[in-house]
Amino acid sequence: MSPVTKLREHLENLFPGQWINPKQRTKTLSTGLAFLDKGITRGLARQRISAWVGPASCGKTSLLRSIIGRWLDCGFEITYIDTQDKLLASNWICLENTENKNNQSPGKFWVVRDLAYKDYLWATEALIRSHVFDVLILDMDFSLDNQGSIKQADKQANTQVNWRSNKIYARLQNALSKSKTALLLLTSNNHLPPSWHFYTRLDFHWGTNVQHTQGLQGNTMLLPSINCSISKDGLSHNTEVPIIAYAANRLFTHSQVPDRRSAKT
Amino acid sequence: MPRIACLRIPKFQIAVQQKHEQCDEVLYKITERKLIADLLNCSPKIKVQEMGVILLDASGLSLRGGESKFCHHVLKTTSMAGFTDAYIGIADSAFAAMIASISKHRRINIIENDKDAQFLAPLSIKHLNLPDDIEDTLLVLGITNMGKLASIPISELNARFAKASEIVWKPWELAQGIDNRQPTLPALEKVFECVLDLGSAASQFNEILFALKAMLDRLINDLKQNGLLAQELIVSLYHETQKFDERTLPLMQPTNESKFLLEIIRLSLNAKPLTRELTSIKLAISRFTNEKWEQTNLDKLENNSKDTVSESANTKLKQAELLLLQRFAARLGKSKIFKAQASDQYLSENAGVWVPIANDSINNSIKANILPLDLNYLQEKGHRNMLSDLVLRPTLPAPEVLVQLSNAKPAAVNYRKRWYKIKCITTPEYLSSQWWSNAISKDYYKILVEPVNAGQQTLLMLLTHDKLRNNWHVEGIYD
Repeated sequence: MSPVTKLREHLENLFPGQWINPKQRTKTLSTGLAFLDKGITRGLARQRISAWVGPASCGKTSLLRSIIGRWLDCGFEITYIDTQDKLLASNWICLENTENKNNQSPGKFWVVRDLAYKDYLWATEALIRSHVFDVLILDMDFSLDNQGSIKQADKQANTQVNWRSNKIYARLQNALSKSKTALLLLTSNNHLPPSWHFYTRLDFHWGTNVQHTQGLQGNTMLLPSINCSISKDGLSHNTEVPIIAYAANRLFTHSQVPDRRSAKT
Repeated sequence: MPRIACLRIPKFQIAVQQKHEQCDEVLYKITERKLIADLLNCSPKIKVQEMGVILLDASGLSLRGGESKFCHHVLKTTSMAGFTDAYIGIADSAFAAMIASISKHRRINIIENDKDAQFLAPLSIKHLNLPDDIEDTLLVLGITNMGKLASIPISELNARFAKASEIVWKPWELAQGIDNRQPTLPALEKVFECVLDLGSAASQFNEILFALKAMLDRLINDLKQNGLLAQELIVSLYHETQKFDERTLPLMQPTNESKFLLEIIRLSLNAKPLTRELTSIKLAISRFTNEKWEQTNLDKLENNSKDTVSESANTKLKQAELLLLQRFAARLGKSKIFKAQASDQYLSENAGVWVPIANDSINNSIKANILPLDLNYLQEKGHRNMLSDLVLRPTLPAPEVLVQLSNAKPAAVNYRKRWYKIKCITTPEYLSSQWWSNAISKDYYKILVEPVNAGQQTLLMLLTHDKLRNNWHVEGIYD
């Protein structure tokens, strides 16, 4: 690595968003996380399918949100296909930065929701072929209900679009090869397609270390670390990802507001 | 002596909105055109003066039953078109007729021949819509009504108020009852539609592709010749003489690209396949707008060639986004692409709203849910690169769970028929709100649980205790 590249990386770590330019086309997207950028994956690959695998509660979406925040600072355009319609808007509001850093146009974060099962593949292809987005995230747990079993309606629809089929991934890879987009699949173990479709694969689950944030009357935050197993081209690497977050200021401890609806005497 | 009638519909826009549940300038114009088409039965010469104010030729009515009958006929036609609240005034000049139609107490107000000046004389000069400074000057001088204004010699008024281009000061003429505005024959309405009989039955898009191409080429040529861009397309499908399907395809950006319009029709037909075979197609451009031309700034091009190139790249990007949104709207019926917008609400689940990217999809119910919030303050004061809590995936509806307590604190929870031991728990955060509409009184615990039986995953949950109903729920899982 040349000294200039090293210096740029160092400055990027110090001042996030100032040194990455989305107009400079690179093969991989820097995530701002050392274990991803400097490990065997070298960031998130454009024109490739990457998979983030983990059960329903494993910290992958929280980690992804922190990366999305950094990408938006750098002016990247990101879209998320929320197949379960379970993302809360309040969790994603402060990501887009209105400030114009380094004369870059601000990034965009769009979410595709309320789609029918048969439209997921079409929407994914249309978003890739639009040449608008740098990153496309597809939440692949669309066929699972709250109890983790495949929905009845989707069982019938599965006869039309089978997401375990090789043809689907060949179509997606074909669309990706003509675009600048990096496709990221979020999936649980239960619904995992064959692994040879993925350029990189990351497996997540909560770690054993739990960070407690103390408030005036006790614990206010629980932040377990995230264990991540990275595999690419037959190589693998295990790492623990610490999360730093601040307590949301939305809940307040106070006495109940008195009910004044009683009739006046 | 020419006679002019003025039809005034005071709540024109509101009436249109009530009928169509939306409001925009184009819709008003379309409704206005339809009303004028109906009113042509009453009078051949019609002119729209402003929104909801229409001038009609009322000359020579003595041979057709008189002006009163004419007024009743106009009001009846207007009422049948859906505008029941309408007023009409008739006078020699357009200005006097417009003032006569303002009267709230009389739906029909007919000013007799040669009595315009007499009718206008006692009325305030505010009807003249003078500039504020001139109106103030006249009021200070004691000229409060049009009669006083009309009595002043025009030479004095010309010297003081008239512009260089004006021979006679216009408001003085109006106060005299002199107005050159006349209703005219309405311009022919442009209709862009095309019907094609296939001669045989077809059920697939590929079978009608060439027919659609030919129809679109013809329509687009017509549009280009008139300097127009299509805003909305209506495709009607017929089996023999029976219309069995009609699709309205609004365009997010006006266009006259036939290839793009064909793509939109294809997406619509793919999304909702035909229910039966069709034998003829009707293609109509129901909304259109004037083509716009931008002149390139040559100075900027020379000085900042790089910037201009990047700007054009940005413009192209916007075009690509619009095309994408249009594709989604055509295929899926309505906008399915959203962005998160902050809303100043108390409960966390209401603190953000998913707002459609396409502006025309933002309906009133979404707008009502958004209370604007100053995010710049948060971005300045907050830590942008730090997470605010973890991402919560709500379980909808929140399942009620059984909780085992130890020292008045949850120790284990039965979630989805499995027992989980609580490994870590936060102090409860108490939230009560909206006691005036929907009472809420809850304790919020964040719990890290591990299953009692080995081989299952650790979960981080949001556990709530509803104090009003005394039950426990898992409201979501942190991911």
